[in-house]
Amino acid sequence: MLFIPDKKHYYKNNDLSDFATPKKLHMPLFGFKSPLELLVSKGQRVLKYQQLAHKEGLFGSSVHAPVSGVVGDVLTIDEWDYLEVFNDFLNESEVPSPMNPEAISIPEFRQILQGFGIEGSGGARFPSTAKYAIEAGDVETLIINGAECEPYLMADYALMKNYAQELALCIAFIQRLFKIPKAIIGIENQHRNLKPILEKALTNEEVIGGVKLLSDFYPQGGELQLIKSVTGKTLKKGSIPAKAGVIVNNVATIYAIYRAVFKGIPYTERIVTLFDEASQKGRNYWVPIGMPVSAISDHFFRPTSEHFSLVIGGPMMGRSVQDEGMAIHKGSGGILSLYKSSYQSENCIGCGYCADVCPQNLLPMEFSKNVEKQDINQLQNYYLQDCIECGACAYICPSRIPLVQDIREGKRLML
Amino acid sequence: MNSSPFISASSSTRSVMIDVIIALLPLLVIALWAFGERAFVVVISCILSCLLVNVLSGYVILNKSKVSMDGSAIITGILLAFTLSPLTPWYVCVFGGSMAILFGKILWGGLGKNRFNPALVGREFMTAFFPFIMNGGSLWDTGLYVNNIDPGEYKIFLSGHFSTIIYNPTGALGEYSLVAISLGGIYLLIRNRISWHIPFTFLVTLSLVQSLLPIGNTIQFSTGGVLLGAVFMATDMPTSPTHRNAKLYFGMMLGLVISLLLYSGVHHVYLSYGILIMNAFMKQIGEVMKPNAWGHSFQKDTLEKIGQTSFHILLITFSVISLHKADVINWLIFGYAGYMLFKFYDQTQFKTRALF
Repeated sequence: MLFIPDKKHYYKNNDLSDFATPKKLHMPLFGFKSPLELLVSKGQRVLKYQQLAHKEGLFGSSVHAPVSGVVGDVLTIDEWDYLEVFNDFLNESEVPSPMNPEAISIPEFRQILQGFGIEGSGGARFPSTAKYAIEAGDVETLIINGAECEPYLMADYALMKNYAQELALCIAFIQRLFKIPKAIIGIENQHRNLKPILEKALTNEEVIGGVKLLSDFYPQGGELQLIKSVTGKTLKKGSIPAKAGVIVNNVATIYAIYRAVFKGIPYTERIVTLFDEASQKGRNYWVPIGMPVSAISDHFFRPTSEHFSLVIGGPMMGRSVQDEGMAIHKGSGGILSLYKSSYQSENCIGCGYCADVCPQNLLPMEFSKNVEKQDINQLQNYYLQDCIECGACAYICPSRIPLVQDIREGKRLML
Repeated sequence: MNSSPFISASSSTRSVMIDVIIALLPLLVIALWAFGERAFVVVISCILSCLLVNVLSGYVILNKSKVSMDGSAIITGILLAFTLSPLTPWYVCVFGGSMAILFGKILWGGLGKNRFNPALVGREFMTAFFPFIMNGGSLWDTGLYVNNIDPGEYKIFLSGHFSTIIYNPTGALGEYSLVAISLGGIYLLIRNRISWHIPFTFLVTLSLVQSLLPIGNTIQFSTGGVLLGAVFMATDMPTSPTHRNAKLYFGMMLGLVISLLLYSGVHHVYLSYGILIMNAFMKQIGEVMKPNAWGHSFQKDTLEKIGQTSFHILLITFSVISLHKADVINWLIFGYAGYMLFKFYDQTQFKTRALF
């Protein structure tokens, strides 16, 4: 089991702030494993909350304008497409149409999830429509993932602290709609001060269930690990949790559903943690989806130098920023400026630390060796496909072997 | 680095090695205390030859611009010295240290790529190339030189006897204090540089076999040596399995193999033989005993594979016993040396061809 010093105390109790909306947004045009289809054209004026792009189908999703303004070009930045939106600062919005939550049926709910662009906010960006392809009575336990096991990230913490009532309201709604007998919010033991706040909110909304304190080990927030901690069930990677009677939603996803169902507002902003390792400064902000890294780094981070790298997401599973045009998407809980490590990788000394910390019970050192040999049979034999790329092995490796990089290479070989 | 994770734990291979050296220090102090300058000469000639050969052969053979000063060569030197008599001539020690690094580590491709414990490889080379010195009875006749402590000076021990658990200077340099070995082991356990699995299953198996079928008085059996092997030799990271299941099996089979060697009348060298035999099977054990991935069920053919592996290990053990009885183990070492040189020659040929 791996425990990572999380350093969250620097800004744990800082309140939430709004970030100044930038002049130009880069709306991500990529959904879960597939691109979105554009609904607007260059030069067109769009209103706040207007749908910009979508994709139909089970894994469909959509993206909406967080501001009013004019549509620009489609940019390709680091292999991904983004749509430029020039903010006119008039903040003219489509009037959100209020709904009566009690009258919503299950098919209507799935329509809302897709039409309002709701997707997994924990990082994987799995479309919520697909997750809720269930009927009433199919699921025994609704797990709300508040573990946020990535070091530095505190966005979900801030959300739970400040919006417990809204979360509880939405959980109660989902529980009634799908007739789910039990709803559990899982939080890490280090955030136990949130327990009374959440419990009070859940009781107020008559949610059947409660808050469960979980061990602080990394990756507690991994879906399979969380299901095990809460229900005791061990699910194989790739299996559908709903078939085992479990559904897992990130707290930020629940909040996005709350806004869609109760306010009629699409998923256009989220809480993001900004952290600067040089100044040890960190804070949580409401940030519009599509906020380019450049708009943030100019204001927040010390001048970036060769000694620092910017990361979107958490330090364990995030993505390095190749171009500051990359923008916040619905799965990014943070932008971090971190010291670059200067270690050289050495031979594997067979310490076995990677095997000790692997949450999937795998042998990561074998992946590296067999990727080098291009031995696909052995990669299969050691269950490479079951790796969740949490990075625990590479974190602990004293020889600094780039295990995650090798694992991704191995998965490419196996395709 | 452009790939996640963007943070890492603070330990490095160097810090791992430093911890092992720290754990060996109490033993070193005891050895030097017992045999003074004689022990010092043995230890220092082993360490210096290991360091020197590591740097030189690393430069020449591995062609690294920067030779790793991670401390592993020092550990090999100390461990080699710990298997030797304090009366071992310095030039034999230098030979052993050089061979330990060259044939135990560098020709395999450097730290972590070796299959056999380098210190034990070095010791086998010494026996093969200097049989008359290494097998001569006078080498172990150390009674004259030992620094015996007057029990009266140490009032802490109420019995008046310097407890043999703390200080019992017979045998090889690393075997003199069960307490010091245990302290080192506990330190390594706390620092997570070894895990309990191998020492525990090894010692339990050995004592179980012993209590079921006691070995007669005629067979020499050093508790200090066994403990040293269990804590420092069998747990060597590169040459022992990397995960729990495999470690449990490795320790258990090591206990069994060593028992067999003892029953067959293999003296002095039973530990080296046992550990080297198990080293040879390290990779196979790792694969056979691999854990089931999260959510996967037990593979049916696992038991069959474990049976096969165990059979292979016992077969090799009996072969080694026969070779030992026939007094031809040295030819095995010469064969190993030849094979390693050929392998190296073959690889460099290949590399040269690939270049053009």
